[in-house]
Amino acid sequence: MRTLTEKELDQIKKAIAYKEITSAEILMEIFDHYLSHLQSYEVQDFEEQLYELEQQFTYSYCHALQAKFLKASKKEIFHLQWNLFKTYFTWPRMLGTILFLCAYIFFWGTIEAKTKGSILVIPLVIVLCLSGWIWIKSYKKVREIKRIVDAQKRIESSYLSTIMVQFSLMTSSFNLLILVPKILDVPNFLDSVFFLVASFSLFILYTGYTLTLFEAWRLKTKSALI
Amino acid sequence: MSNNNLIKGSLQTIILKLLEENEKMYGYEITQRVKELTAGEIKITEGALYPALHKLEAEGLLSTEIQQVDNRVRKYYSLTKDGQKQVTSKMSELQGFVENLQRILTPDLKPGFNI
Repeated sequence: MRTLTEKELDQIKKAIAYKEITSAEILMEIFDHYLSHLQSYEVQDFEEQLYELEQQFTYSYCHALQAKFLKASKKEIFHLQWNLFKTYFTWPRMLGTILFLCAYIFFWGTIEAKTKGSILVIPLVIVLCLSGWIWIKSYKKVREIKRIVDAQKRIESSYLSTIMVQFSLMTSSFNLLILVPKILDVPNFLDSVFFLVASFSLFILYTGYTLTLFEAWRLKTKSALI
Repeated sequence: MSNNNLIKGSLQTIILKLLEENEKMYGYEITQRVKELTAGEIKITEGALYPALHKLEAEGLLSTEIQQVDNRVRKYYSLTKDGQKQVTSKMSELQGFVENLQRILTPDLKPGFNI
């Protein structure tokens, strides 16, 4: 195994840059594969071996791999969150949650409809802060990959994309159920049963999502670029 | 030897078995280990290896670890507890298949032979 020259490294970086990979995980793995392979050959074989690699890691192969990885990361995060959600409810926690919900429903009945909408914003803001924090953490890790590979294009973790898509679904649901009827000036919307049920369900959904996202992130941060 | 189609169905088992024997491995290392063990007869293509690794990771059978090695970042794969459980069942599944295949290819062989 030999050390590659600066010229060779530049050649590898250029070859990988042409593939326009945007997933940091895929870029990192392909770059390591190229280097590991080429290091085991002598200088005179470099061009030939690089060509061989280029035949395997074609533009379309890299993009297909990237798309599959994004899909797999979505599945992984969702399963992780769902498993956490299922295992979260042990008997003491279930009892605690039921007591909390009873107190919440009682409290819900005593406050004004306008305040209910405002309260709903609290978990949404928490999710926003959590997502922002994960984004910053991921940005720092990906910046290192970008520096190593000299990537000119914008790259990001596929896991981060998954989390951000989920977050956009949260805000969209809030807009659809709370803001749209308000903008359209639906009469007595804030006093309707629909609003009560929708806002209460959203509160539970946002809280559950925040808890599971945080736990999933805690598990994945050790091994992924988030 | 062109055996890519034959390997396809057993690639996940090969990966799991190798990771059972080695604590952690990275993508290129897996391809080289297979090549070494089979004296170059079986070559795992990158086209099949990485999607298989990512799939096993998404299914929770593999865990990953990122390490700075020389002038780059390397992703290591290792078995999770679920993955360790899966190795035995996947191995016996594959061995059973190979035995049955052998019976088809050489019908004279008595049942219950060991490979």
